[in-house]
Amino acid sequence: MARILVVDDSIISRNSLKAILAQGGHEVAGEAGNGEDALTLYEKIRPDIVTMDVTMPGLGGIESLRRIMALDPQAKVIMISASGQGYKVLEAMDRGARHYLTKPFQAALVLSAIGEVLRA
Amino acid sequence: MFSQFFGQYLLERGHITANQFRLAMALRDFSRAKLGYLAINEGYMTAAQVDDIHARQAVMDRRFGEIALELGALTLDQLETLLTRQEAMHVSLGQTLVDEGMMTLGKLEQVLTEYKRDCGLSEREFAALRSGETDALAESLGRMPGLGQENTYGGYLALFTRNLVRFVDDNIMLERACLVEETPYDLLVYQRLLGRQNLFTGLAGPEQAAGKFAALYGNMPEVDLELAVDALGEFLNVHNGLFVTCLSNRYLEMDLGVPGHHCQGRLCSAGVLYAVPVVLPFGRVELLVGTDDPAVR
Repeated sequence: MARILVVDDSIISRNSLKAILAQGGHEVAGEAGNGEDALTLYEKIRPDIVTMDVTMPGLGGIESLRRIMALDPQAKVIMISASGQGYKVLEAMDRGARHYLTKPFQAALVLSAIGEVLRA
Repeated sequence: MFSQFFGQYLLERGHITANQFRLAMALRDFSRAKLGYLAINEGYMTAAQVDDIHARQAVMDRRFGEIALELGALTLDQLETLLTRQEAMHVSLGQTLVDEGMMTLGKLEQVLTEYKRDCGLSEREFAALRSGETDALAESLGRMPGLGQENTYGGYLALFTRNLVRFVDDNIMLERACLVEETPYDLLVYQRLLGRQNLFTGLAGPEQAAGKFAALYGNMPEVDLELAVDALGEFLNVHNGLFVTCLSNRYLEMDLGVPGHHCQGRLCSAGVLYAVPVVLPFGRVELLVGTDDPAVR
């Protein structure tokens, strides 16, 4: 079981992801609707894994990832994107993201990615 | 799909009631398409010719096709086409309405003609719709030449239709894309696609219809305005993401902007702006596609 911080500006997406994580026996330790709140929460709760949406208003997913990695180089971040954002995903992987998932979520893929990142 | 488009049309124009529509849709899968109906549908025979053959069949044990050939109402090629189609197609809403006594053959022939005329469908588009080629129809209805390269944006509406069916509701009716200078909205959710030429995309509609759309997409019984905006933005994001992926497969790169929204205002074209009315069982929304960043007022 992992303690996970879910970061996405979409409530629907957060709810969908939280349901899948709960189904996999994981704990949602916190959730944030933007990058700024994600950074504050990360420092406070130090989750095992962060799921980070790429496209968010204000501090976007890539910049939030960069700042989290600066805070904690061991941070395990999984990027979330809509289809069609391949090069942003590549940029995120270059910056230290461990995995990525595309929307709409498929439970098996989400749980498999969480498992892989936990084991790594 | 044709049954759904056509049924919605009949309902809207008062040719059938909502209960008749539901009943006919439920019944249509239990019967088999009949040659007479198919012959009218194909434009090979008139309702009067079909009625005549039905009357003859009441007094002689002969097949419809045999009589039609004998009377010269059908050629052998036409009969073979109909028999092949009969095997291949599901029974239609039109036939069920006739079989259940909700509409006469003559009336059906009349409303099919009106439907084709009111939807502005060419013979080719009508044939595409009848044979279930909804991609072809959506591409045809969704032609937006003002956006520029047809090969880039040509498939946008076809993909939108598939995503509506996949994520929201398969009971949809599209109308032809039309250029607008200015369009009012109750709720507008939009997303820009950023590339060599930026594209504005949006969904607009009354709050009630937008809310129902959002509830279906989010798989929730009901939603408030905040959740409706959120879900519509996510739908647009997922749809546009798939579109951008299709473009990327053709070496055209675009990026997704952050979805935004506005309530009660007017969207004014700054270059080219198209509106595609989409009729769903719970209301009507508009898909908006344009260039040059339309002004939101």
